[in-house]
Amino acid sequence: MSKIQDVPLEETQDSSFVASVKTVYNRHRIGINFCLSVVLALLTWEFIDFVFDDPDFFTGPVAVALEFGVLIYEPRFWENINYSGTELIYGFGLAMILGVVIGAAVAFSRTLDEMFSPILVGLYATPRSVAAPLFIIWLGLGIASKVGVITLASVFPVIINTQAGIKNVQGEFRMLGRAFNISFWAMLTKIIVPGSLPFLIAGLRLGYSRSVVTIMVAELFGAEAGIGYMIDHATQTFHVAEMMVGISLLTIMGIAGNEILKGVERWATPYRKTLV
Amino acid sequence: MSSSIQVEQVHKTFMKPTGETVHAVGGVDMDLRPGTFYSFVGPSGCGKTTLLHMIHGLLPPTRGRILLDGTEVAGPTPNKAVVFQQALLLPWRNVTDNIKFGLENDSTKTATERLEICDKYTQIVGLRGFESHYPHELSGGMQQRVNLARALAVDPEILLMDEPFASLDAQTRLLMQEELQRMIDWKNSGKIVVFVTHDIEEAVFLSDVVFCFSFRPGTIMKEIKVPFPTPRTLRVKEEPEFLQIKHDIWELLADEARKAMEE
Repeated sequence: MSKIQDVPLEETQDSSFVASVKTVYNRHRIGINFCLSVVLALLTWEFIDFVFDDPDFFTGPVAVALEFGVLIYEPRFWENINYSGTELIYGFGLAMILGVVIGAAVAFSRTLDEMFSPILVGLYATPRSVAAPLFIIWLGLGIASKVGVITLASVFPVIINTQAGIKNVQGEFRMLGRAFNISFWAMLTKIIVPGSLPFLIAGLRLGYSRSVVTIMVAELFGAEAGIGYMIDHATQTFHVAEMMVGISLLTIMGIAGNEILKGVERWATPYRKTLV
Repeated sequence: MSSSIQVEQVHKTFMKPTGETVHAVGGVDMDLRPGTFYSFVGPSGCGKTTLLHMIHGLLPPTRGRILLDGTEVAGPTPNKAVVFQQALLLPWRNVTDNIKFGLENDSTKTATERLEICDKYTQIVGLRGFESHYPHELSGGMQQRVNLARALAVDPEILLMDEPFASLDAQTRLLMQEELQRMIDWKNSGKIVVFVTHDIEEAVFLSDVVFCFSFRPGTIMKEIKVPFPTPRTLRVKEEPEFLQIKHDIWELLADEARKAMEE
């Protein structure tokens, strides 16, 4: 819920500098706060670097930016990004499709729910680092095993949220649909889909974050390329700056994807604009 | 066209999740005529909402039968519409589209006709100017108006109202009672209106006929005709005859309400 802001009853004639700064801040509050948090994080990061003052041990944002400027000329660097990006798109894409299908199935069928929910919960609780080596044995060192691990890691939030969304909207509006005698198809398209969308998108955001985190885990147990592979390699050769570049890349991927999904949410559920 | 409803020796029993059997409705007979406003009053848990749902076809009677124009009610049909206790508005639809919800089921109407009908009922329930508002931007009273307009828009012969004002504040409730008569206009349209409520005064004020229900298993203790002509103004509530009817019903229901409380 956004806070309700007081509006002065009379137009105040305060034209001081402080007042105009306040006005600008209030108008662009979200953007300014975001920039402030980024600046604060970078400053803290740089400050820690300044305290340690040991490039073999810790690197600040300036050094990382410089390292980034060097790396972009290496084809290997782009290969790594491309590799992890592909893993992410396939892994998360598969999780999205499977998650919605399985989530809808367990929401609509009590039998399926009772049969498979314990298994799903069990798999959800299994550590991803256990799954990664298994997938390598099954699917090889190539990209398929990484896609498998990422899908496994991120499919559960999607399943759980899809199921919760459908159950929630059914519980609330089944009566309405029945009372107006609408068909199953109308129930699906007019009530269930639009009503479960906010839950679904929340599930996708959770799943996406897990996907990004899992890139690292998936590539740790043997890979041909990728950002996780790059981080691992840089760690073993004491290239702290390169390692930090890799970590930053994962962070950026996480934030960017999340912002895109937030955009999708705003677009798909415009009625919530004044609600949230 | 106007319809009539016969309720014949209707019983309803439920099985609670604990395995206990509940006899909710215990043999109700009634004959509902077109152009009449009926109220069901009674203590909580007297089966009045259950009976309303059975008339709508949402639940089948355990025993007995409900006839609409001579044929047994088998399920919800477009000539019946219900106004829920909770507004149950779709949060992703604005006022117009929520009112349109039931109409969309009627394939004989074109999109333009539907919009015209929506427009008409938006006007009737007094929501002109709020067409593009979403439910969360409306007050409770306004949400109930949309709930009512959605039911009226399908032009049902039978309008079933399940404590529609229960969630409103006292003042809004009074005003809605007065306005409801104008909004439905059952005398001219020949509709049957069934209104479920806890509130005796509300029931007497709105109805042509009040059915008083006993506590479980719900049966009709008395059928009371309210003589005042409609539409009525809130001033009717101060007339001695009105107060007498209200008093009589309370005398009748007090013991039943006590039973409900002790349950």
